[in-house]
Amino acid sequence: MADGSASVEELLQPFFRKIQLRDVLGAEEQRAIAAAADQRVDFAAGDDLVSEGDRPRRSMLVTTGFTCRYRMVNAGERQLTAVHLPGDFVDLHSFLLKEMDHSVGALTQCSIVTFPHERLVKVTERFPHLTRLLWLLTLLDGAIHREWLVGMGRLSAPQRTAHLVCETYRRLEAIGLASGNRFNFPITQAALADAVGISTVHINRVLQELRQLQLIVWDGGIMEIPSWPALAKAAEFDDRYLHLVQEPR
Amino acid sequence: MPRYFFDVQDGEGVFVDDIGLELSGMDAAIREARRALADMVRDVLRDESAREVLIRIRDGAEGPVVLSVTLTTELPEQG
Repeated sequence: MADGSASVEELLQPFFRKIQLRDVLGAEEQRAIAAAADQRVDFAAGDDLVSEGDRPRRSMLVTTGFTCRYRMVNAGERQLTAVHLPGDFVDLHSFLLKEMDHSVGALTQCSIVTFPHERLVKVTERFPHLTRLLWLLTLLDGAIHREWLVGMGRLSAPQRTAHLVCETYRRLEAIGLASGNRFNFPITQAALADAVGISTVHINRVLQELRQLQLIVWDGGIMEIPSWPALAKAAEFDDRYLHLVQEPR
Repeated sequence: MPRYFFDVQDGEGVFVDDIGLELSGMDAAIREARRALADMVRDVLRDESAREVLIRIRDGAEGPVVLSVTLTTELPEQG
């Protein structure tokens, strides 16, 4: 069981909400997941949760803060391939892929809960529907990767930046962690540049353009979207790929 | 390490850098400007009115412009 003041069920609320948006999670299934949780671990911004080449024996689920998947290339350039929010498993992949083909880093101060792989094996053997839901989570990761790939290939840097803001807000809003077109986003400009795949000099220009167009206000770690329709239109954002539809799986 | 500031000027206007980057020296600053130009050129070339992208490197927040790196597009005259 996780330690700390909050119960493991409380810590897992964003995860339960993420699933319940898309399907029904039974009480017994909730208990099974909570019982499979092990330790609670805190990380500081910039820490690695898991590194490329590792063979983790546990998977981690974010309970507070933001983390990212990334790879290093060209001797020092970082490319993010995903941003994780509370409720996201950062390395459910390692449960079956075994060796990490990328690293996971903390974008902000964050907390996670660990799930030993042997307990996940037991869960998947006892709960076929829950197993399909875990499978669904990795498919959602894949859907988000596809959307990023389309952006990298075809959208401009301001569009990709706007798209990431839309995506992050929509995902947070869906699990009840953001409302009113604003959210806490205390990541660095350099991290945002690494997510969008451009240099730090360029992201500065892109952010100023988005501010001048009154598409975003990003101040003191709070991201505000003055007009959701305007930002979504600029980014060509359509949330279909997030599959926010409740149906039996 | 010195802090360099990179102001960008393109078809959309002038974007003044008020954050800057800590870099080992002028060579690193020029490398950074070239990388940024390489990024920006992809978007700039789609904008048919854009002719030039310029990055001015300032040495310090209030410091003088020490170098400009410019990318110019030459378009054929429209008949």
